[in-house]
Amino acid sequence: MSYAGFTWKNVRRNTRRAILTMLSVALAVFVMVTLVSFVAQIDRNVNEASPLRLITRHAVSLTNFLPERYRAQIERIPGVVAVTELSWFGGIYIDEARTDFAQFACDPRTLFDVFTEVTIPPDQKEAFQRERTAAVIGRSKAEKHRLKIGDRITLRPRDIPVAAPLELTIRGIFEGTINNEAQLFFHREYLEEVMGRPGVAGTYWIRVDSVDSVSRVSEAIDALFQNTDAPTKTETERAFTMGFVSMLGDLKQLVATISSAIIFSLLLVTGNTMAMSVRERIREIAILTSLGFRRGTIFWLLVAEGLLITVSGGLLGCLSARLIFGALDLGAFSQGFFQQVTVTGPIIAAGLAVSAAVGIVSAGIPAYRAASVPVAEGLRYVG
Amino acid sequence: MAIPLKYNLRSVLVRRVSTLLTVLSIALVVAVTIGVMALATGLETALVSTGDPLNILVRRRGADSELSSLVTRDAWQILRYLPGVKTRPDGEPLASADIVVVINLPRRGSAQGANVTVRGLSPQGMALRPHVRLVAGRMFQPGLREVIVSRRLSERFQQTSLGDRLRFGKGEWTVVGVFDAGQTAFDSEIWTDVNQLASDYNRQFYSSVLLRATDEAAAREIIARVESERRFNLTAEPETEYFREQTRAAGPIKAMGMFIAFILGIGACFAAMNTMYAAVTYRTREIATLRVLGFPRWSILLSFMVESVLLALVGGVIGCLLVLPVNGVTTGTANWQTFSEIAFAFRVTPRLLLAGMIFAILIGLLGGFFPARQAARQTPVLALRQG
Repeated sequence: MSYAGFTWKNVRRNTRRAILTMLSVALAVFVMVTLVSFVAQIDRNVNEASPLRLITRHAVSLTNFLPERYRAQIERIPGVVAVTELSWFGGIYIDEARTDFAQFACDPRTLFDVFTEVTIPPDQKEAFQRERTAAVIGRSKAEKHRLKIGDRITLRPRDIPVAAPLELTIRGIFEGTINNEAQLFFHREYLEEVMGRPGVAGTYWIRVDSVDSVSRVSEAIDALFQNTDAPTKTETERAFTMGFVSMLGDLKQLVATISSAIIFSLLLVTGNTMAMSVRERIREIAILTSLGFRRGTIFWLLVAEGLLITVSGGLLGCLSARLIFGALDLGAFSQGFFQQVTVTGPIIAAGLAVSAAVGIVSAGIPAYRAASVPVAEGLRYVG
Repeated sequence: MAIPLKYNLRSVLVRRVSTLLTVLSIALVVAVTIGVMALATGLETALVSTGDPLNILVRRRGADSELSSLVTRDAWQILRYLPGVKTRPDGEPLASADIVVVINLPRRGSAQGANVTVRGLSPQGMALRPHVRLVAGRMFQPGLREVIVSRRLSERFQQTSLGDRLRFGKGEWTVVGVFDAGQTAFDSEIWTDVNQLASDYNRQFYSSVLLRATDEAAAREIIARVESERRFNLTAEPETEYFREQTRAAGPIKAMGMFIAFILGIGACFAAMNTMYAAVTYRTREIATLRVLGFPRWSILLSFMVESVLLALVGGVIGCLLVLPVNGVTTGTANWQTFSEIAFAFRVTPRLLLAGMIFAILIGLLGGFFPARQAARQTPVLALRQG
């Protein structure tokens, strides 16, 4: 019999125990992989931010508006390629549950010059720019809400004192990010009109010509408005997104604490299983030694057994997490905060590595002790 | 006839290490679950315990939060003299018109900023919130660009210690006092004079108005009055109600706690099952002997269930002890409704501990049932002949 066959036979000696242990590893790894994936997703959103984009907001906070005349001054700074206003509009589409996308008022002429990674057919882009009440929406949300070109949608204002709801017509569907195709854009002109022309913008989004211009341009913008009623704070898209993430609190530490508790508890569970199955076999192990098997070989055979159980459990946990989160519509659950959570290859690899480590440690200790029991004593052992 | 508990105790002690490992793994699962739930409870308590039931908050109809609400100066003059509003001995009504703005402050130990609420109060603003007391420094002077900062906030953010200068609005503000709001939502705020804040932000309007009613009947009357006055376009509700609605902020944390508890709970059940199956296997002959001595099947079943629950109970107790140190640890998260950070403390309440114990017992019951059933179903003759 080969070593592999021997290990397999031993694992199956107490099938129920092996399966229960494997399943508890699978469940624990599932929880861990899920938590880590959520945190990693947040990181990925931060990293997707373009290094060439800057965001100018009111220095005091995002809830303060900037005057619309700032735009012309920003555009004159050398190195600035394109500028668009983006004003958040917290409207309700049909009802709260279906409002799982953010809506922004923008400058339709420059929106796609600032977000160059986004693609939209040229005729749709033109139609969007032409019509005052036109809107564009990301593909994933368009598909989810079954919206097609020419559909009319109504956004009821929630917080902003606006006279009437916005009546928009979908004129384009864009692809390839602005946060996973999950936002809607419409004309700032239209919003200004229904709000009675306050002449304000929430933020300015700026594309610069090269990485070298980033800090120079952002300093130039802030210097320009330093001594006005509305001083600005300009930062890269990355820093801006991080600011949002940090508002959630110390997620990373929380997840790290929970994960380490889970790993420790896994060690205990599998350690218990391995200790039990090794104890039952002390006599057999003594027989193996007396037959001439090296103690090292016996040790590794027992460790392989633990590994088989924990790694298969880990694999089950990782794969089920991947399948479940691939199929789940998280946008609806989290009101648009998470559009999608992907359990990536590296996270799966990490999950498997943790399972393997748990297997080695938990089987290693009893295996070492069993392998070092003197033959005579082992043969005499009554379990 | 039931098998004495002493039998279980001794059996458990025989397999010390195995028992201990299982107990500890249950303990960890219980601890993690209570810990996450303590986070949600802390956030909820901070919001729920905010406000006085006799305080009535008036804001613009349709505004989810004070941040997006507007109350005109005319409306304020009418509101404060409404019948049913409590007055001070000198005839001044107990009412405050507040302005709420959000500013961005860097955290301590990092350049990363977070949003913080600044509230401008009318002179009666403090009297309306008697649980808020100064713990250091003095009250701000109206018209002097002075602020007082909550202690919890000042622990978490730069430029918020006594004597520091903060920059927002049209210039610098001096921190002259530190207050403690008794673990309510006000513990996440900076307070100052409403008129100074209004002129800094060019505000013609207030954000909200807070009125103290003389009694409950008067409170109801004031609310009905505000709601029925069409020209106001305002809405009124007890202050406590307004903050209770914000407890939604704890929703995601709760969901995470439930998710973790459910899945890890099943995992812990499997671990308990393993231990109990092993116990049953080791004691096959003992069980048979007990049966021969005349103990019925149900008493065997009961005995093993009791043993399993016992293990889980010990695990539960250890889990509760493990999680106790996080009680009171301050943390913060985003309250999207006010668009600012709310500071709160983990709260390990007796109710949570009880829930944790019930959770542990459940693990014990579920984990013990199948092994116990197997033990009870054994045929004594076959078992005695074995091994």
